[in-house]
Amino acid sequence: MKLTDELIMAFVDGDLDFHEYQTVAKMIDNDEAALKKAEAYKKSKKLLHNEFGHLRNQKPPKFLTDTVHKHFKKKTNILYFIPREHIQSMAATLFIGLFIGIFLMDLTQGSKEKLLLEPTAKHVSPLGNTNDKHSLLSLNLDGFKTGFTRLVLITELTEKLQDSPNAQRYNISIGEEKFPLLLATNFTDSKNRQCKIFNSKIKGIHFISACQIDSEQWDIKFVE
Amino acid sequence: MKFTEEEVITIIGELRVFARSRCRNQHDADDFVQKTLVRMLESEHLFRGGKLIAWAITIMKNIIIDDARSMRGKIFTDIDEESISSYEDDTTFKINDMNDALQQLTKKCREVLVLFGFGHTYEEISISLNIEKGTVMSRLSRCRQHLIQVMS
Repeated sequence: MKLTDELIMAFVDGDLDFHEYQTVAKMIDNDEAALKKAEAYKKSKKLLHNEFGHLRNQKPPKFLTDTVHKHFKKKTNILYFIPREHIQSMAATLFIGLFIGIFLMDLTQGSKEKLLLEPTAKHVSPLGNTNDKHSLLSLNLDGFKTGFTRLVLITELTEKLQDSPNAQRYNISIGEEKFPLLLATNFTDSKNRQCKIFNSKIKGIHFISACQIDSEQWDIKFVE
Repeated sequence: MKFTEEEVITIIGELRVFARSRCRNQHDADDFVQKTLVRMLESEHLFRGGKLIAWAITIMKNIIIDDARSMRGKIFTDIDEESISSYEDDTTFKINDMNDALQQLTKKCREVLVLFGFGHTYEEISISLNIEKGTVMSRLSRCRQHLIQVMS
């Protein structure tokens, strides 16, 4: 065994087993330089332990332990367990979910209105001749014609609804042609407005709904 | 991998003594310990297991590097890397013999010496600093001889 500095140091620090300890002790006894080194290691050990050893048994300052306590106390909050890098994606998911929820709720409400209409609509016999041969069926009302037709429909129907709100049939003149709008049903919408649905034979418009906003105004919409 | 409150409290003592290897007094060292605790608790999700003290010391080393410029005057400068500043006129620090002596050594020396002075075995020092036990022994042996030379 070669007597190295590390071995002398381990001897001084008591880091050798019994057999090694005995061997190194004999070697140091016979080597004055090694003896001096051993003394130096003893001295350094004592100095270092005196300087820093007390910290081992010293209670940590309160502000340090408080830092740790506060953190672990905060962990009782459930949101703490969401990793920070996931918070943004979770917020986005929540937002999208909310958006879809609102959309679906809207759809459901629409369905309810539709269901509300159906039973009544089934018992309503369209008035007048539904197999009429009005030429507008064959008219091409694309483009501005469609827009014009709708404008005329809104104006004409509003006036006629004002004049006789309880009629079962209204004749609308578009250009030189006349078209009957036949009342299919009455209902109350989600905004509590009194509404009417008319069957339409006009090309591209299957139904027309008219909901009374006030004594003079009607909200007229087209179902294509 | 998570750690418990008790595990963190347990390593505070060792962190304090490690911080002493870089600071002139315990007050400044404790500032580093607090910064380290805050950062390691905030980065808990990044802990991949192993020895908590080794991870905490790595964090502290990074904090010390980050703060090196702003903290100049409080932390020890490394004679291997930087010139030593003079603090003779600074009366706010009570400098004792050991502090003066440590200031003359490299930071690697100071690290092993303070941990040894804290009462750690070679094995424990190797775990804390994440280095081989043989490296700890050779470094400790050399640094203790330097320390005695400086102090005498």
